[in-house]
Amino acid sequence: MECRECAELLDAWTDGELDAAQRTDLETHLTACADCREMADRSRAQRSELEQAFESRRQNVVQVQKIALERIRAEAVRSDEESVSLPSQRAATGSSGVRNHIPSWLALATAAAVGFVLAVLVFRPWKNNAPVAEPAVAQLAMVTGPVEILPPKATDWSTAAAGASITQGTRIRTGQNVRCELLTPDGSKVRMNAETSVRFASARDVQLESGQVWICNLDTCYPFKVEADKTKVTSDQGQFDLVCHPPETLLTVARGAANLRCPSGGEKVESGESARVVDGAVTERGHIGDVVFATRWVNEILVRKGRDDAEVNERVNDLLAQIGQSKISNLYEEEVRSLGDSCVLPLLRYLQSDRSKGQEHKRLEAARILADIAPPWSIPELIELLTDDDNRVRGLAATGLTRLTGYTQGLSPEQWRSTPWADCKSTYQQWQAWWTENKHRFPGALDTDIYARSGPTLKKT
Amino acid sequence: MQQQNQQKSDGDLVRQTLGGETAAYEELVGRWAARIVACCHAKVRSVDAADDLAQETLVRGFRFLPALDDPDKFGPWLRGIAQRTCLDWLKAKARTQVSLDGLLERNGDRVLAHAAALGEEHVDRADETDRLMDQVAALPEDLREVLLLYYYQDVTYRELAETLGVSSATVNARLTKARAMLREKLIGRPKT
Repeated sequence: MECRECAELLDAWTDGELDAAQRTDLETHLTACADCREMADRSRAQRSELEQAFESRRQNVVQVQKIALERIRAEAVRSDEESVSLPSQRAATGSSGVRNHIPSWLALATAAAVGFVLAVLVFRPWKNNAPVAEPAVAQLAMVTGPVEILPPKATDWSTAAAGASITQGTRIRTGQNVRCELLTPDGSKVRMNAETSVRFASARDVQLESGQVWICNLDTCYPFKVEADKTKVTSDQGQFDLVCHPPETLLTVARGAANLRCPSGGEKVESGESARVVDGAVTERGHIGDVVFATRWVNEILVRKGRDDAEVNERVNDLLAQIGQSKISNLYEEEVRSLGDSCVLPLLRYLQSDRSKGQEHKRLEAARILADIAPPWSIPELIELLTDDDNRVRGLAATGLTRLTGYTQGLSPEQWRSTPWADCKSTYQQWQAWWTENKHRFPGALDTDIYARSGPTLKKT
Repeated sequence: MQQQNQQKSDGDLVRQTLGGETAAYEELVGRWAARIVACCHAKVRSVDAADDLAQETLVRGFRFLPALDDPDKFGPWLRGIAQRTCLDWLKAKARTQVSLDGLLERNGDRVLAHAAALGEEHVDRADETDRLMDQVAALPEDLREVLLLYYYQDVTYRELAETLGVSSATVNARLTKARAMLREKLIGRPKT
């Protein structure tokens, strides 16, 4: 593949639209061509930036739907009351309405028929079958693919889009590789993993038919209940993960505590603990040291949250805390990376925080991840990292800046690592000047006045 | 994934709605809201007006559903309503910023009057998204439309091609060109 063809296909490659053969050819070309790799980085960065920019617009679509549906329901109710203006049955029946064909010589039959027709027109018995809008017990807030619902009176499953209201008694199911998040009126979250089926008995009562759910319960006044097979789990406030493949159910509590009841008895499960139920009896209790890792399937939902989402921040901090603490540290790093753009702000904050001081290994991991994936909006923060106490962090910040901008300001990342600060300071100032001149070209950049910070206090290395 | 279900077509849902099941139209709203917002946004280049106009379009779709000749052509029909609603708004905005009485249906007055009153609403906002949206708004209409349709919802090139009535290769070319134009506006001097 030549560079020109690669350039034409790069965006489609970033979008996942190439077939296997094209993808292989392009990726082979990228391994050999630094210029095209740089273009690929820019393509990925731009995709991430646009997705971020449109995230709030997508949420607005939910609001548009909600208001439109309110107006439509009001019109439908008004039409029912006025007995006019509902979409006619012409298209469904193919007829132009009720017809009366009465032989003129059958006076009694005519009168009876007319009377019958009048009764039908007045009482309109088919109106009694018109569905009345049910209040919603949840809203489908986010989907990663097709999610199907079966409302109580429906006979067929139908695909629901993000923003769809879930009424009492509705069943919901996700397919292979599809996850979703539902919000209840109080803001509690119900997340469904792939190939999961639930039924919403009410806003705080969910029946897990099979699969896996993550519950984040915010309401302290009323417990959230999940029933799975022969097991009932209630939580006053907290987060827990429940997997059910009858006859086995596994409860993992991430925050707070949950009460578990099954035919063999009841148990309280605290944060960081798990309980396994088989055929109605608790067979195993355990301590889960890495709850975050055990519940990493929610990451695919978290990556679609906004840049500064509190839950994402918390998750990254939990993952960072595990890096360097266990033999599977590399897996935690992969989990952080899998959060993509969403992990960048928590990582920047971590590096800037006092709590990271003395955690050399973790700071380097955070800086390494940022060097690889930090998007354009983080450029001013990366410039500030050039003043870090650790020369390796300075070098990694320079790596990220070069990747994003194509510039070095005269000092390569390797030189940032090996050169004393006194000789780097002028280059840092050049970066600051460059940013002042060019920041308008990077919509979405953090609103950071880098001159407002107190000057760098460095222990030069 | 369980395959027992049969996903209803748009035509089926239209027929159900015409049979008196409002819930069927709600399903259509769920399927088409993002695309209609994207179409309105592409047409009027104002995010707030786009939301209001899309909402009005969805309501008008319900109100005028009996007038749809072919239920299976619901999508293009609804897009047509969106375009006419947007053109009405643009004309009204050009004539006056104050009163839209007489141009709008009774139930749409408040909604569209609000949209018109916004005027050039995004001029002084510091919102980072608005700055990028300004640049998207400056793209040629065919590029702007395909970019907005792509990012307002999760779609493939093929689905976009069906919506726009073009080939997937055309969708790729337009998206590539749109993004290249945005990058030119964002990135400064060439690498030295």
